[in-house]
Formats: sequence, structure tokens, C-alpha cells
Amino acid sequence: MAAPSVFQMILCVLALTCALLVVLQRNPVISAISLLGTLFTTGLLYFTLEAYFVGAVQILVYAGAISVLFVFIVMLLDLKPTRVRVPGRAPTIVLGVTAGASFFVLCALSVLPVLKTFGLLDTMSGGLGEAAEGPLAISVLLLSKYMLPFQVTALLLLASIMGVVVLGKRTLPPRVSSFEKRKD
Amino acid sequence: MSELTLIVGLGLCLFSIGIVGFVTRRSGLIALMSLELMLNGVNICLVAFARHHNSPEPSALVMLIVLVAAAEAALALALFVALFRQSGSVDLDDYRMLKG
Repeated sequence: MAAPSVFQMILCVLALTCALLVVLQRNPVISAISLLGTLFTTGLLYFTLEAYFVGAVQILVYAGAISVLFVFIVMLLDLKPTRVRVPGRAPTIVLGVTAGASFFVLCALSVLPVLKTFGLLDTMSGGLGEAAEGPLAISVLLLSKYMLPFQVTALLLLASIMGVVVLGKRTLPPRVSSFEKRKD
Repeated sequence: MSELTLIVGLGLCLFSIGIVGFVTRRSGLIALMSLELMLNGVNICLVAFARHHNSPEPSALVMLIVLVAAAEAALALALFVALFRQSGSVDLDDYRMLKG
């Protein structure tokens, strides 16, 4: 496979920076907007990989709908920036960073050698044909081989619509439990 | 470094950052955003493999993942809005009554 272009490297760095901002920022609004940045740069990266249809779906659905929904909800709830240090959280943070780092190291160790052998076997000089990546090939697959998952996803969407309507309509009774006591 | 290594490495990095955010952040909304980051990392790897193998099958999987992510985000955000209306907090630490 061809060496990565400079544009792809810039996009990768941008996506990584935005992803780090999502996790590290204390202000949830900035986190949500960084998430939008990550998803958008990922869509652009798909364009450079010549997966035009997937890139368009990524930008329309992910960056256009899901992350805007996130920004909307964060602004609706008017969340305050979180406190930096909360007592008793240090073990969780250490555990989380260890889990992420060990996952990364293990996956990199197991995947990268396989990728190298891929590169030896690889004869494709680059560029997908229109037939392999276009909407036609994807939709033929979705309607033949992946028919059952496709239909189940439709059911899932229907169920989630119903769940959102139910959750949005009903007002839950106020809770008087351990949370109120903890606040004092 | 080949293009495939760069893109798969980016996907791995996004997934790991998502794990760290999901475990360490207290806000439920940020945990949800980290979940989206993890799904996005998987999608990046799938698109890279689709290009490498010149096959449309990973792209079909990407479509299904995007649909599931959309359903999950909508439902979880509605859940957090309901929780916020009930007790004024989306901190996951405040909802520990299932812990026993």
C-alpha cells in the first residue's frame, strides 16, 4: 500500500488532538465540540481513502446529527465544569489509564506484525474501484448477505424511538434516597 | 510506514482514548462521548481494511455500526435528560444504588 500522504498525517494528528480534548477537557461543551471535530476529520480521512459513500454518511449522520445532538443536550442541561480533584477517584483514574494503555500495547503488538505480512502480500497499488466501494455494492450486500442484521437494526431504531418518546413524556417522581443524603 | 499502518494505528489510539475516558470520567455524557470515540475507532479500522482488501463488506458493517451508534446515542441522551430532571445530576457516581 502506498505511503501515507501529508494530508492524511495532518488529519490523523487533528483527530487524535480532538479525541484527547474530549477526554481531558473539564468543560462538557468543549468536549462535545471536540467530539464533532474528531468525527468530522475522520470523515475527511475516509475521503482520502476513497471511501466516498462511507465518508459522506460519516459526516451527515455522525458529525451532522449525533454530535450536534450531544452539543444540544450538553447546552440544554447547562452542566458545570467538573471539579478537578475529587477524593477517592485516584484508583479509578490509575485503573482507567492502565486499562487503556495496556489495551493499546497488546493490540499494537498483535496487529502490527500481521499488517507487515499484509504489506508483503499486497499487490494492490492503491485506489478502490467504483464497484467495490460505491453505494451500489454496499446496498447489495446489505440487502442480501446482511439482510437479517439490517432488519434487526431497523427494529432497534424503532425500539429506541419508542423508548425516547416514553422517557421524554413521563416525569419521574423525585427521588428521596441516598443521593439527597450524600449532597448534604 | 504504510498507509494501512497509520490508519489502523489511529483507530487503535481512538479506541484506547475512549477506554480511558469511559473509565475515568465521572460525567455520564462524557462517558457516552468516549463510547462514540471507541465506535469511531472501530469504523476507521474497518474502512482501512475495506480499502486494503478492495471489498465492500467492511463498509456494510460500518453502516450497521453507525445505525447502532445513532440509536444508542439518542436513547442514552434521553435517559440522561430524564435523570437530570429527576435529581439534577448526570454524574455516574451519584447513581450507585445498583451497586448493593
